[in-house]
Amino acid sequence: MFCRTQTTRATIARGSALEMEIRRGKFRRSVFLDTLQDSDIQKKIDHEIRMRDGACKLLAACSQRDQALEAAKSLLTCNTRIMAYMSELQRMKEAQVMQRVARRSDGTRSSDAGPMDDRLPCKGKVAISDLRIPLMWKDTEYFKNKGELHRCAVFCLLQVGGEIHDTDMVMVDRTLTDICFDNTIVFSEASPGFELRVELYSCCSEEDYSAGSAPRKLASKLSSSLGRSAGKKLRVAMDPGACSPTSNAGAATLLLPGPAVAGPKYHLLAHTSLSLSHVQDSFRTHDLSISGNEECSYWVPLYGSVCCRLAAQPHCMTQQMMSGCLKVKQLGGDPQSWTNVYGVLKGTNLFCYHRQEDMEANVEPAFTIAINKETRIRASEKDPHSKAQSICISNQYGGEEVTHTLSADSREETHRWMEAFWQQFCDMSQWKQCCDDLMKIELPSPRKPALVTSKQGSLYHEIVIDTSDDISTVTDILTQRMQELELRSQLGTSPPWMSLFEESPGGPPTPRLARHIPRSPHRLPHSPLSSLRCPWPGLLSSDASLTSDSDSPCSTSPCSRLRGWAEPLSLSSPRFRPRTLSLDAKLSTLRGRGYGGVLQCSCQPPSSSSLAPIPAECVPQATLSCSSSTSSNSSSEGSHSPSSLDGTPFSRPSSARRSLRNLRAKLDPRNWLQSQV
Amino acid sequence: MVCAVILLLNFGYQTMEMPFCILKGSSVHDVGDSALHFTFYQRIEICKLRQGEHLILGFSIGGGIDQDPGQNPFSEDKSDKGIYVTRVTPGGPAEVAGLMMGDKVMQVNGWDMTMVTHDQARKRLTKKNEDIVRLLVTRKSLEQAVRHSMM
Repeated sequence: MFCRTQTTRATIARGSALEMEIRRGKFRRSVFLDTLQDSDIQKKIDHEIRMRDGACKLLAACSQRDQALEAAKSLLTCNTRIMAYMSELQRMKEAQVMQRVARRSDGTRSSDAGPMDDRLPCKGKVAISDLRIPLMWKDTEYFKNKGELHRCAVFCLLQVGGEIHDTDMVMVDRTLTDICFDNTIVFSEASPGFELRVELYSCCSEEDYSAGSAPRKLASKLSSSLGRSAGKKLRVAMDPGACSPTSNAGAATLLLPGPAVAGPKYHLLAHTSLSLSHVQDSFRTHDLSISGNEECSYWVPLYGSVCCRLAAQPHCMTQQMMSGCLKVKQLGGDPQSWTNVYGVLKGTNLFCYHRQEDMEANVEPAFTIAINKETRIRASEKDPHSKAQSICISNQYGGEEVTHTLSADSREETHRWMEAFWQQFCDMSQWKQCCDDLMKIELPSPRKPALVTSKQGSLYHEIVIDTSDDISTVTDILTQRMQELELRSQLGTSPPWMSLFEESPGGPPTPRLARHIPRSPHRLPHSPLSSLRCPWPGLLSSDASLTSDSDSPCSTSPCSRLRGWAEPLSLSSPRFRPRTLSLDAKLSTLRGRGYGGVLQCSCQPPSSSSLAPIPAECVPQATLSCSSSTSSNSSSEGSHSPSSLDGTPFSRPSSARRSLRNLRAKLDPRNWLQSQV
Repeated sequence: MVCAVILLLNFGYQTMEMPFCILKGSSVHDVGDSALHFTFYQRIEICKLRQGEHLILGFSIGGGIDQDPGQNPFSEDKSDKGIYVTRVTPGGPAEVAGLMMGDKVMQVNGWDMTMVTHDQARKRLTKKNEDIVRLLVTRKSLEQAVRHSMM
């Protein structure tokens, strides 16, 4: 009962009861063998059903719109897969039945293998990547600023035979000019006559999905829920065609259609079919057939084409089709000059290595014979000099014809090599342009971090503030001077113009400021200033927080406290106007850098208050809170960030440290800002 | 197959939700292998503390779609432009409510925080007329904690 030539490799144990039954003729072995293929599909169907149940439950449970959309997408994919498997199962059952009928009629077992000269081309990998679908918004829509953005969720479903894959979901609104899918999808076993069906599904993302929607709307949603093509398939699958086995048919009626769930429903928006003629190693544009019109909720104005890169790698180009020991002689050479080589037929070449080990060691082959469309191969009659048949391979190398003669060890070997060459030619004629050169297919790594395109940010955010203008040089000079002065002022002197940067203590705080700034030291509950070796003149100014408009000096009582042990810290007015880069703005920021209550030198751990007493050491790092710089209207905001340092000592640069770099850092969108709330 | 697990516990007057997980479908690249990922969320309710004129929450945030995500020390995916908690004031309202450093803030009082600028995020947290903010956060360690508790 063991039969090695059976491709399904099903074996029935000797001496088992089943074997006895078969011997007695009660069952045909084919009944059991064929069901094994069925069971593969059955397993796949079961898996997809479980996935579908999971997706349905998720859809019912989730509250977020984008989760619901993702779940609906999974549901659609599962349904499509289930139907594809079901129809495949159906076909197989029908084929079995036809076979049984044929057997019964002639009473003989049909041969398992087809006729020998029916050569099947090899299969290959087909990959589609960089899908891009251009959109065509009307002018009026594109520039419409009022009203909410009409958004749709779209994704693509790709199908080759029984393999179905979906891309990631993309949200489309009128700010998008193209729908781009970054996924690379690879179908591993495709025949040269494959048909890659690309379907674009979309779903409006603003509908109310509650169950209480109008019955008519619900009914229309449910009826179109599976999409047109899917619905057609459904009807076909449900059709009780030629006898289908009872169990599966029963299961089919239970499975389809799937449970109706309230939630977003995707509709087929466009589709197209790609085949071998569309395969190319570069991007190509194909036409899309669009279903639906402007009245549909799921409508997205498509330009009508899709760009993508469709590549194919037939197995004959990537795998070794044949290998073995050969003797090669170049025609016209010495009749005795046979070279022993180890030949490997792969792609469009026959690589000849000196030894088999060379090939495994990836050493360069001794020479290579091209086997391509222009090659002519013929088996020659018995060579009078040697007894075996030989194979002649002729190629045209630039106008010159070069012929190699191959000879194998035995007739069977020669025969096998000829078979291999024939198969190669068959493959090349079927796969056509794919066999000219190997097309690259890049497999996506499993966790590739998605390249975030800054679709959300505006161009404004991309602009780095150019600081190489005159103002900065002036202020740079001034800050340098200030730094010098710090050191000098530690000795007690300070030039007269330093007062420009110094707020006179006791300057009258404006009433506005008084409202916002809690001046009493009790604001610093646990942060005894004594613990802070690095003084924070900006502390109080931080209370002024984000009000960029408040440009009055802050209370200075703590300042005076600080003053005691940090002379150089001269100021601390929250004067702060980062809105413009005018000179006075910069100077005023230099004067009183209000840190807006939130400063954090993230590079230095909070506990490192043990900064050098000389503030000169403390170089402000990039991350400063800059809420004020990005929002000049923050003054209207309710509770300003309060600032209080809550006892965690930060390292803060001293006021004198406030070089222009701080401002640059604040305004430079490349920094990673932090705000305290 | 487990889909959504939401555990709600009532502790006295305060309703605290245990971290729950949501199944998220993902697109399939490998043949035959569809993975549904678990994302763990926790709801955190912070009562603002009044300090004079200000209402403070007691933590700092970083991130935003206008910020450079590569500098975020807390994110796993360095292209994640979400809002992360960069510091929690010890003893402050956020710490009391259970917020931790490194948490990613997904929602604040129902407002999405995954696609906001830094300033928008700050504003949503510091609205003067709100005394309580309810955050939806996620953190890596949650996943491990729930896995451990499920074992």
